[in-house]
Amino acid sequence: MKGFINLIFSTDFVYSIFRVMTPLLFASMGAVISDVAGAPNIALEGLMLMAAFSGMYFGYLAQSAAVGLLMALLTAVLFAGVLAFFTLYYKTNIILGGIALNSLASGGTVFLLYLVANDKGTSVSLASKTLPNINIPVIENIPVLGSIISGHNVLTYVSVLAVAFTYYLLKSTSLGAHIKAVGEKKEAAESVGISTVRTQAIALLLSGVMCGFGGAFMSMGYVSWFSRDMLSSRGWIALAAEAMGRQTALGSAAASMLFGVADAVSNAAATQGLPSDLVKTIPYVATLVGLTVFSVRLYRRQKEV
Amino acid sequence: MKKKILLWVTCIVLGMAATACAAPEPEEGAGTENTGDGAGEGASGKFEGDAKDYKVALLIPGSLGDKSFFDASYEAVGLLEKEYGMKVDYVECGSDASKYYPAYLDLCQSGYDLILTVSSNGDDALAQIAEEYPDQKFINLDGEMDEIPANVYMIAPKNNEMSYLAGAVAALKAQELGEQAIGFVGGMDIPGINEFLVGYIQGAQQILPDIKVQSSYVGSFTDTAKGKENGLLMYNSGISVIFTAAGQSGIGVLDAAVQSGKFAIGVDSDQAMALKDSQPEMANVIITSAIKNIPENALLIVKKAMDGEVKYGTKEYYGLKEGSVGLADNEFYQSLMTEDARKAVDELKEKVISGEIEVMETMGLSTEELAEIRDSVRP
Repeated sequence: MKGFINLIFSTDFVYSIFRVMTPLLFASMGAVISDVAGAPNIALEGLMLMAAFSGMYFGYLAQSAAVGLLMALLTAVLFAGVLAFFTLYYKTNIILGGIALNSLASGGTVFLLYLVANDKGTSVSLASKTLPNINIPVIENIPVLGSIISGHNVLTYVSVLAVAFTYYLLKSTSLGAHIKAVGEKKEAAESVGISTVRTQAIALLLSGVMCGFGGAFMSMGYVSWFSRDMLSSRGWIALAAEAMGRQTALGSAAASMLFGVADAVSNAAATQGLPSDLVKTIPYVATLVGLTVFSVRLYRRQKEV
Repeated sequence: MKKKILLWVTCIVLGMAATACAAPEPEEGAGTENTGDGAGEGASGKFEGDAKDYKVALLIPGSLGDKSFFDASYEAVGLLEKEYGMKVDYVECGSDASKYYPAYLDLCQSGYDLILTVSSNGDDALAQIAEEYPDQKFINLDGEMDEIPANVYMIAPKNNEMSYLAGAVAALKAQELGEQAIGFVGGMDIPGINEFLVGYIQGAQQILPDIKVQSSYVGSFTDTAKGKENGLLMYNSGISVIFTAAGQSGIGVLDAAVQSGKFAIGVDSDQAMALKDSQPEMANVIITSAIKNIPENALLIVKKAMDGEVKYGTKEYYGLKEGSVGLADNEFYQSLMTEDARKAVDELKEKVISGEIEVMETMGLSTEELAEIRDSVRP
């Protein structure tokens, strides 16, 4: 137990929380934007998976991480566009569209992986590129804090910016106001001349951008290869984080952080020999506790009013 | 008209979907001579014809690309083709267990002389189909089963023996570095994985009786990122050698070793040689790999099956003695381990082969007993 406490309070551990949290932050922001617009994108997992593959592969082809990142973003946006096209233009059910994209991503990436790497498991046989880690000047020299905040992958910092961007977008821009209006009441928004299709399409494409970053982080930052189903449900956990954060940027970011902490704790606990089956439930128990606390507070507040 | 076309298209698509998991027909087609127990077999069960005509199929109850036994069993397909000239059909069924039985059914109806499979994923389907087709012969290249049907033969590689040697290697490396602890990262807390752990602990204790072994489970065989987290945590806690038995997740541990400048021991196939060209820095930290020779075993057993010498209804252990499991001896092993250390490992290997050292059996060990072993060496 002492070893466990020591581990939890080590800088390495706190550092690892940011790493674990990064894909969740991106995906939950993608979920927030699309959900607020009334077009819930449940294909986060699939979009990130495709982006992860595309980033790895094109980064390898061009031997440039920047090209990889760009292609990861393009791929995710393209498929988010496909989702938008079918659901907004052809009125397919967006949940079904999302499921279709997730299945396509899971099977399709393995197929493509086999084509390019002759391997159905991982792309380690392709020497692909990774995005750099960044040391922040000045801060990196501060003891403790420096080793926690500095030295992360560039996309980890971008994920924090993504939260700020989403917060600002929804709070202070006219596009954000349109997105909220369309999500709240379509008819009302249309009556004042806001195009629902256009607004929802933009929201979905933006969520595609977020997924592009998230996927790129997985295959070009977290690890340096693509492996089958490498997202391992991070897209779904982000969806839960978004629900827990009640579709707000900051709330979802906080929930993502909670999941990140819970996940990091479960990793640490596993190495300390706590019963592993129990340990793996920590992130989910954390969700339950979080939701309970939240609803109790909401209930009390309503009673006061 | 439009509706009719749609109907046809639907029919064709459905038909294609239904055959998607079906086996290809054997080359000669399913004539009368191919039904049941096979006309080519003599009374003793010996196959009289040419090896080319011996029809073998492989059912993979999982997906290729695991860098582990499924890939190894697929390698056996090529090897059989090369050595005996036989064309082996294989069916890759994925992780959906409901597909195994229909796939077996297709194979049984196509009249193969022998159906190979691997792992215990498809055990339920195998038990059922073996009962329904008592004349069909099955061989599992790497499995365990409590009650083996009369027409099924099991090869059980002694994972504990190769892990024992891996443990010795890890402990020797720790000794060299002046450390008292080593690590283990498993895919899941299941008997098949704990077999590796127990052998590993025993081997390490042989070298350093007081050694500590930190163990953890990723909880998934595919989450490479989480494998890396597990590896980093262990390396950061001061451990320098980790043995991984976690499928794809294990690659994450290898990456963690690169990042921390420490060492890892691979599993199932010679991972250092496999990664040598594309990821040299990863290969450089893999001291050795605990490997099973599934393809070679397949070659051996199919030959035996043709000669009618396989004792169906039983399982046999294939260990160091049979040359079926062992450690990868490659350039990285040579350079990362001192000559004395390598000699010590070889001595242990000889002792296991001669029976002087008995590596503990883990099958049948209760959860409590296992936890006791695991906790007794925890740092």
